[in-house]
Amino acid sequence: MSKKIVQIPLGSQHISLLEPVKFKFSCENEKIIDVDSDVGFVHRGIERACTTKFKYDKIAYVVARVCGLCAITHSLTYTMSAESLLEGEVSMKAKYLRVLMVELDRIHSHMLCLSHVSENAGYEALFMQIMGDREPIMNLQEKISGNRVQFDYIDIGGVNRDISLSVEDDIKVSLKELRGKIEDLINEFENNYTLSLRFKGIGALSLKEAQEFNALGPIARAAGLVTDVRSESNDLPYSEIGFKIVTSSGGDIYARNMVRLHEILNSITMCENIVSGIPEGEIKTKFKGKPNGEALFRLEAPRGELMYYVKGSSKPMLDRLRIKTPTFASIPAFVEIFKGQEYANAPAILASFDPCMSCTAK
Amino acid sequence: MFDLKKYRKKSPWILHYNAGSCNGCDIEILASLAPKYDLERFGVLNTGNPKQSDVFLVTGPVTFRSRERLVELYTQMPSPKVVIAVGSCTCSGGVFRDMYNVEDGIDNYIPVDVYVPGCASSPELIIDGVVKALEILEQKSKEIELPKKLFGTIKEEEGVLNLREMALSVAQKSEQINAQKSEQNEN
Amino acid sequence: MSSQFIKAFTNLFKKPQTTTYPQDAIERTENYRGLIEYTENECIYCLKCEKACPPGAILFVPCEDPVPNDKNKKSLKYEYNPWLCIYCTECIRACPKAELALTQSDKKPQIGVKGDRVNSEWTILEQLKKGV
Repeated sequence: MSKKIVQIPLGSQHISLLEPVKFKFSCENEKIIDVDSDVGFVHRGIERACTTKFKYDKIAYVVARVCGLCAITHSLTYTMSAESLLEGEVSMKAKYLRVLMVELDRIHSHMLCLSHVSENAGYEALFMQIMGDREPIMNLQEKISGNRVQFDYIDIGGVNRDISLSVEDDIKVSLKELRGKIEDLINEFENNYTLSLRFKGIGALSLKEAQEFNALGPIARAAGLVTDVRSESNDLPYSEIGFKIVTSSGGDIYARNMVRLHEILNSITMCENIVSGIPEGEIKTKFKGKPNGEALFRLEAPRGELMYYVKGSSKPMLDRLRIKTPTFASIPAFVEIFKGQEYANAPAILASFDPCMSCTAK
Repeated sequence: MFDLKKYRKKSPWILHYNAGSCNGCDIEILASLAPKYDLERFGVLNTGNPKQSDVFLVTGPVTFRSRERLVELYTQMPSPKVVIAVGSCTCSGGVFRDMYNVEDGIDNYIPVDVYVPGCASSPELIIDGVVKALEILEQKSKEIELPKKLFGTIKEEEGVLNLREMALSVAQKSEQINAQKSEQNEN
Repeated sequence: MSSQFIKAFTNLFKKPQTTTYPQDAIERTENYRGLIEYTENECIYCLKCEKACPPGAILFVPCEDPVPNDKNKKSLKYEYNPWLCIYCTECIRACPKAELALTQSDKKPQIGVKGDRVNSEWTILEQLKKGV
C-alpha cells in the first residue's frame, strides 16, 4: 500500500491559539514531514511610523504596544539606547525600580505559559488554579504603576512614579505566599502521571541542533546551551541582587517546564533583595540635547534576547529604528522540532514554545 | 411553556478572535474566565466554533491581511448575534491610527453593538460590556419574531401579539385597495 | 495521592476566591489611572496638551459661538474622545496648570453603544481642524 501525503492546516483562528498564525503541515499517515508557516497577519507598520509621526520622547509609549506580554522590556531597551546618545545620568534608585518591574513581568508571563501548557494536556483544573494564583502579582503591578497590563512606567531620565512604604510591605507578604505555591507546583509537574509521562521525549531539541539553528531563551537553556544576556553586560545591577543561570538537559517539553519554574523562584529571590535594599535618590533627572549618532542595546525578555538599533542626526525625529525580537530569530528551530512528531501533539508543542506573534511581525 | 425569548440570554456562548492586536486585551479576556472574575457565572462558555456561538469578542485594529477572515466568521454565525469591540484599538485605531497597514477600527467592516474602552481594558470593564450586550441580545431576540412586511400595523397587549386585530386591519386595507381598483376600471 | 485528598478537604472550609462583581463594587487601588477631566475657567489655551498626546485624543476645534473667555483668542473648543485615549498621563505632565485645569480622576470610562462619537464622527472633527 503506497503512502499518501496530505496537507492539514492549523489556521488563523483556533481555540488553542491566542494570536493569528497559519501553519500548513504536510503529513504522511499522521507523521509530520514538512511545515509551511505564515506569520504576517499582525504587521502594523510601527518602525516606519516612528520616523515620520512620533517624536523621539514619545516613542517609549508607542513601542510598548508592540507586545502586551513583554511590554516593559521593549520600552526599557529603547530608553536605554536613546539615553546613550544624550547627555545625562540616571540615578541608582531609578535603576533598581526599573529592574523590579522587569522581574515582576517575567513572573507573570511564565505563569501564563505554564497554565496554557497544562490546559493543552487536558488538565483543566490546574489551568484554573495557576490563573487564580497569578492574581496577587497583577494586583501588585496595579499598586505600583496604575494599570494591570501596559504599565507606561518608564520614560527618558528615570521612572514616572515613586514607591511608598505600605506598597513595600505588601510586596514582601505576597511574594512569600507565592513561593510556597510554586514549590507545590514543582512537586506536581514532576510526579503527576498526566503531566510528566505525557511530555517526556516529545518535541525534543538536542544540543547540537540548538547551536546550529540558533535557538534563544528557555528553549536553548532546556537543551543545555548556557546563554543569558543578564550575565553578559553591566548596565543594570543584576550581579548585586543574586542572579543565577538555570539550565537543564534533554530539550523536551518536560525540561522546558522545569526551566521556567526554577526561573520564577530565582526572580522571587531577586525581587525580595531589591525591596529590602532600595537606595536613596531622585526618580527622574533631566536629559539635554537631541539624539545624534548610532546606538545598540540588548536585554533579556521572557522569551529570549531583544535588540534595538537607533540612529539619529540632531533632529526631533529619528532617522531609523530597527527591532529584532526573540521569536523571529527562533522560527528555524521551531520548524526543525515539528518534523517527525505525530500530528495530534501539534497544539501541545506549539504552546510549550511560548510564541509571541505580535513581536514577530511588528 | 418553554419560552425561547426569555431563556436565550441565560447561556450565551462566546467566540473570540484576534484581528492583529498586541495581546494585552487577549490575556485580560483569558483572565476574566479565571476564578477571580468569573464570567462562567453568567453561563458563558468559550468554544472555538462560530456555528454554535451568540457573542463575538474582537480585539485589535484590523490589519490588511486579516480582514477577510473577520467578515467570514461574522457571516457564519447564526442570528441573533451581538458584536463587542474590546479595547481602544478596536474601537477607533488607538495608537495605530493612520499607520500604513491598518484600517482604523472594525466599524468599517461589520456592525458593532458595544464599545469597551481602555488600553488595556480590565476584566471589570469587560464584565460591564458583556452585561450590556446581553440586554441588547434579548431585545434582538424579540424583534426577530415580529413579522414586519406581511401585516400592516403591529398591535400588542401586555407583550402578547393580538393576531385577530392585525388580520382585521389587513382585511380592511385590502378592501380599500379593491375599491380603488374598481373605481379606476370604471373611469 | 493522599496529600491531594487532604488539600481538597481543607478547601471545603475556605472562602471562595470569586468576587461577586455586579452586585458589590470592586475595591480600587489609590493610583488607578482613570478618565481625564477638564475645567474651562482655569484653562489658558496654550495647546501643550494637544501636542503631547501620542494618539491625538484631545483636539481644540474652531467653532462659531464659544464660551466667553479673555484668553480664547481664536474661538476654539475642547473635545476629548475616551475611546481613543490610552490613559498614559502625558497630557497632565505637559500642562502648566496641572491639577487645576486638567486632572486625572479614578473613575472608570463608560461603555459606548451605537450613536456615540467613536470613529467616523471623530474623523469629521479631525478634518475640520486641518481645513482651517
